[in-house]
Amino acid sequence: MALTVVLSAAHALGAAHALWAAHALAAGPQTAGAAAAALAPAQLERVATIEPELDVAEWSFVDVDGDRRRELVLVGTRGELVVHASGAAGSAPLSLAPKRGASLGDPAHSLISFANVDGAGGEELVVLSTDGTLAYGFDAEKGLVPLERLSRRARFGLRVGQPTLAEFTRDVNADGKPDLVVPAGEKLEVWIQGGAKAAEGGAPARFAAFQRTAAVTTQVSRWGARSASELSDVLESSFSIPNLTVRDANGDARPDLYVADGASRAWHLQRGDGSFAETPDVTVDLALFKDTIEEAKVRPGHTLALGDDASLESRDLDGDGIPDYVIAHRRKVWSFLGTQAGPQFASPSTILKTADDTTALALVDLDKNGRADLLLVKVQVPTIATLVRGVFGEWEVTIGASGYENQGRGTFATTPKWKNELSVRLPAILKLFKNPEQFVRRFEETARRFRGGTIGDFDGDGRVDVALVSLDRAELELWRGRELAENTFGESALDRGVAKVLFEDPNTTWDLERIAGAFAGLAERRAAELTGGRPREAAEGLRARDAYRLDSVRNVDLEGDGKDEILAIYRSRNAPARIAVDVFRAR
Amino acid sequence: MILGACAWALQAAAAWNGVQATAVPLESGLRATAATWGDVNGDGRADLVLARHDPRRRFVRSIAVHFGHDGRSASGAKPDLGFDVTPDTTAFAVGDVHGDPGEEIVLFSASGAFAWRPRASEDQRFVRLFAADFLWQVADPARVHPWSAGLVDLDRDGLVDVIAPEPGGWRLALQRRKDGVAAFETTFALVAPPEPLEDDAYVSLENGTPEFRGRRGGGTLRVSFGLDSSLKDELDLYDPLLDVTERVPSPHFADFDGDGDLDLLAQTTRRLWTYAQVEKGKFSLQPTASATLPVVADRERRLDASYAARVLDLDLDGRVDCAIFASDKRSEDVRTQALFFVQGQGRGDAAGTADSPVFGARGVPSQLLVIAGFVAAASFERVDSDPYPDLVVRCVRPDLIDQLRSISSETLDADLYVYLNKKGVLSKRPDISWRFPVRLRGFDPNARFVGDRTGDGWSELFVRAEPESAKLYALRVGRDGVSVFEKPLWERALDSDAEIDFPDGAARDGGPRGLLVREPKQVIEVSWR
Repeated sequence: MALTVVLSAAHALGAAHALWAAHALAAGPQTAGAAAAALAPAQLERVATIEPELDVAEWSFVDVDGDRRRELVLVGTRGELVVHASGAAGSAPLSLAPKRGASLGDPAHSLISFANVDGAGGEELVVLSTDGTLAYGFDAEKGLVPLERLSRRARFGLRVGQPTLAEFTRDVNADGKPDLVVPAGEKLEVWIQGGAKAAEGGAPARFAAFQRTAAVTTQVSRWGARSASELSDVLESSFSIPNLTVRDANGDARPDLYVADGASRAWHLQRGDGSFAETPDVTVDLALFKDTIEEAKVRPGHTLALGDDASLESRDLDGDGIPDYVIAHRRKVWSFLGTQAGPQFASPSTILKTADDTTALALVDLDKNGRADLLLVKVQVPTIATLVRGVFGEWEVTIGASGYENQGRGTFATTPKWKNELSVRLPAILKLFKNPEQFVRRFEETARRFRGGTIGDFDGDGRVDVALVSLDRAELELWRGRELAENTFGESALDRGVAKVLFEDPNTTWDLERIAGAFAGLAERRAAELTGGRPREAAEGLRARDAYRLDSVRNVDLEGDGKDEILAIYRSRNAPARIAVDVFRAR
Repeated sequence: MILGACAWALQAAAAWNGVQATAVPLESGLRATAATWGDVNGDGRADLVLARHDPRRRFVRSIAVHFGHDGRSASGAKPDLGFDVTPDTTAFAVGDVHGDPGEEIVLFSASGAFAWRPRASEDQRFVRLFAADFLWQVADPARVHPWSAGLVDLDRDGLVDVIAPEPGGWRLALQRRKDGVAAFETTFALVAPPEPLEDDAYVSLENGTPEFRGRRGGGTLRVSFGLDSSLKDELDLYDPLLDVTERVPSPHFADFDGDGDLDLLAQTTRRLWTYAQVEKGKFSLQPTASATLPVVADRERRLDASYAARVLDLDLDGRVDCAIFASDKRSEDVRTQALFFVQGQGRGDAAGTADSPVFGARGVPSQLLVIAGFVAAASFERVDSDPYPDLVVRCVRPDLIDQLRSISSETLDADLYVYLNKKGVLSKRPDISWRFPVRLRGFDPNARFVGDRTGDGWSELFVRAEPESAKLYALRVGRDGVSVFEKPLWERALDSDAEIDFPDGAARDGGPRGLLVREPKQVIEVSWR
C-alpha cells in the first residue's frame, strides 16, 4: 500500500488517517525480533548491468518461460516486446542476448498485464486494446509472440499514449484463475474465466473462455487545463479510473462486488459457481436517508460541511465476521447489521442524533476491545477575522472529535464517551503565498527519509535480508539475517494511533513542523525496524543522481536458486524513455 | 474646472444608454455551461450559441442556437436550432469550416474534429474535418468545453484553420476551398519539444512482482510514502486501475521573424521554441529556433502566484515581443517584476541576437517595471485611443491596515493599474490607479476594459466586484491625470451564481463585442449599441 498525501487538495479524512498513521508509529522503535546471529562479513557487489537500446514504456520481472526464474520483460514505447533471460548457472544474471519478439499492434491504446491465464507454464503477457484481449507467450526462438485472443469483445478504447501496466487481470472471484476487469466508459466490465472457448481460425483453443458476468458503474474522475491565453499555460488532460472494489459482504468468504454510483450503493454477491449477478443483489439509495435539520453550509465560523450528501462507512461492528454499515446525514446516524444474505438497510440497529454538525465520520476501535466505535470529527471553518489575521500571522483551525462507544449488536452510546478538541496551527497565508516552495521542500525532505529499498532472502539462508537506499541516495546498503516484527501498520495499530492523537495526547496543538516530524519519525522508525538499528554490513554505490533517476529497487530470484538478486532500475534524466538496470548480489 | 468635469460626467452617466442587455431564458431544468456568439444561419447577425446540460442526468448535453435579431427582444427558451451532443464529444467551437452558408459548430472528440451542419440532411449533418488524437479525450458528463482557441486563420488566407492539441504536440489543419467546398487535407503534426524528467523523491518498496501503477506523466504535486503494508481496505484509500495524464505546452501564434506569417511559439521549462511557418501555409514539424527563457518556469516558479508569460506585439512592428511577470523573491516586500522583451528595442546587454532575437544573449529585458503586491492577472488591452496594447494589472497589496478593515467589511481591496503604451514603451508609473473592494465570496471577480463605448477616446471599464452586480465605469481626464469615474455608467443586478463569458472576436476598436452572463435560468446578452 502506498500512503499518499496530496498537498494541493488533501482530503480531510485521508490526511487525518495519514497523520494518525504517522503518530501511531512515531513513538519510538519497538523491539524487532531476535538479534541476528553472528555472520561472516558481508559483501554487496554489482554483478551485471543492462542498458537496453530501446525506449522503454514498461518493464517487469516475470517468469514467462516457466523455468521458475524470472526474466526481465521490456515493453517499448512503440510496442516492442523484448525479453532478457539468464543463462546457465554460474553466468552473470540476465546475460543472454535479448530476445526480441513481436510488437503490439496499437501501443498507444494498449493496457498490459502479466498473468498465468491457464495455470500452466510461465506467465502470459495479456494485452487489452481496441482489438480485444490477446495473450502473448514466450517462445524460445521467437520471443514473446501472440498466442491467442482471449476475448474479442473485452476491449479497451482509451488512449494511454504507450503500453501501460494496469491491473486488469485479477482473480475477482478468488477461484485461483485470473479474470478480466475492463474499463468501458463509465463502467467496469467483469469477465470471469471459465468454460470451454470456441475454436478460432480452426485451431483448438488453448485458454478457457471469458464470460461477461457484470458491468458495474464506476466513477471516472477527470481533470483538464484548457486555458491557452498565456505562453506559460500548459494544456493538460487527465483521467483516473478506480479499480474494482471487491470485498466479502455476507461472510461466505467469497469476494463480492461493491459499487458506488452517486448516492447509490450496490452489492453484487458472488454465486457458488463464481459468477456475479448482472443486476445487484442489494442496493441502497443514500439520498433516502435525510435529517430534517437545516443544511450545514460552508460558512465562516461554523463547522465545515463536506457537501450535504449522506455518507456510508463499513466495518464489522458486532464481531460476526460480516461487515456492518453506518450511514450519516447532517446530525443523524443510522447503523445496520449485515447478514448472511448480504447488507440490509431496512432495520437499523440504532439511530443516533448528535448535538453538532460533523465534517466526517469513521469507525475506529478507540478502546482496544475489538469492536469499532463511532468517531465523529468536526472541522471549524475559520472566521473572516481569523482568516484576515492569518494573512500576516499564524492562525489556527480547530478540530473537534467525539467518540461514541460501541455497545454491542450494532448500537452506539447516545452520548460521546470520548471528547476532545485539537488545533492545527498554520503559517501566515502571506508567507505561504510568498514562498510556497519552502513548504513543499519541507515535506519532500520528510519524504526522502522514507528510504526506498527491498526485503528478501539475498543469501538463501531462509532469513530476511534488507537492502535500503542510503539517506543521501548515493549507496545501496545491506543488512542480513533479520527477523522482522509483525507489521505494526495494521488495523489495530492505526486505531491506536487515532485514539492517541485525538483523545490521549496532552499536546493538542499541531503545526506543520510537528506533522512533518511525525512523518519523519515514522520513516526513521520503519528504517530502524528493518535494520534493527544495527550499522550496515555492506554498501555499494548507486548511479549518479544528476544523470539517472532511481525508478525502483526490487528483489528478484533471477537464477531460481533461492537467492534473490537486488535490482536497481533507473531512468536516464537526459532520455527518460531509456532505462538502466544494475544487478547486485549479496554474499 | 474639476467641478465642471464632474458635472459633465454625471450628466453623461445619466443620459448614456449605450448598453443593450437581453435575457434569453433556458429551457426548464437546463443549465448553460458555455456561451458564445457565431453567425450560424449566415444572415450577418450574431447568433447565441449555448452549450447546455441537464444537471439531473449525466451526459445529457446539447448545443443550442438562438438566432440573432436586430434589437432582439426577449427570446423564447426554445432554441432555433440545436442537437444533443454525443457522449464522446469533449469540446466545441464556432467557425466557418464548411462551404455551407454561415458558421458551423465544430466538435472535438478523441479521434478528431467534426462539423455540425444544421441545414444538411440527417445523414450529412455531421462531417469529419480531420483525424487527430485530441488531447482532451474523455468527455465531461456535465459539460462540453469551449475550445475557441482552436480556430485561427493560420495562413491568413481568410479561412479559419483548426488547431488540435495532441499528447505529443499540436496538429494544425489548414482549410482549403475549391469551388466552394472546404477541405482539411493539409495537416501538420508538430512535435512538442521534450520536457525534462521531474524528480519526485519516491522509490517503491516492492518484492519483485509487477507494479501496477498505470500512470503517465505528472502534474500533481504529491509526497508519497511507501509503507509496505497489508492493511485491509476499510479505509478505502484510492486505488486506481488506470491513471493517465497527458500534457503539452499551449500553442501561440505570432510572427516571430517579421516575415508576415504566423509562427507557432511554445514554452517549456527552460526554453522558448519556435516552429516557423516556412512558407505560406507550410509549418515546420520540428522547432526551427529556441532560446533560453530569462525566467525558468520550474516548479518553484509555477507555484508563484504572480507568474505568467505572454507573447504579443508591443510596438506593433510586426514581430513578436514577450512579457514575463514574476514575484521578486529577493525583496522583503511583496512585489512583482514585469519584464518586457521588445524586439529591436534592447540596447547593450538587452540587445537581441540572431540566435535569440527576443531575449538577447543574456536575457536582459528592454524594460522592467516593479509592481507592489501580488499580480492576480495582467493583460494587454486598448485603454486609450491609440492602437498600442496597454498593460492592465489587477493586483492585491497585503497591507495590514487595509486588511484589518476587511474584517468588518468582508471585502478585500484590489488595485487596478494601467500603464499606457507609447509606441512600444510602457509608462514607468501607472497612468491609472484605482482601488476597489472585492467581496470575499465564492465568485470570479472581473475588471476588464471593453473599448470606447462613449466616444470620448477612452475605453470603459467593466467590473464585477461582488457576486450580485456588474457595473460599467467611464474614465475621466482631470488635472491629475486619468482616473475611474466613481459613478457607474451602467449597472445591472446579477444572480450571485452567474458566470461571465467574453466571447472571442473583437469589436472595431479592439474591445470585446460584448459579454454573456450565464445565470441558472437564463443567459443575458450584453452588447454595445
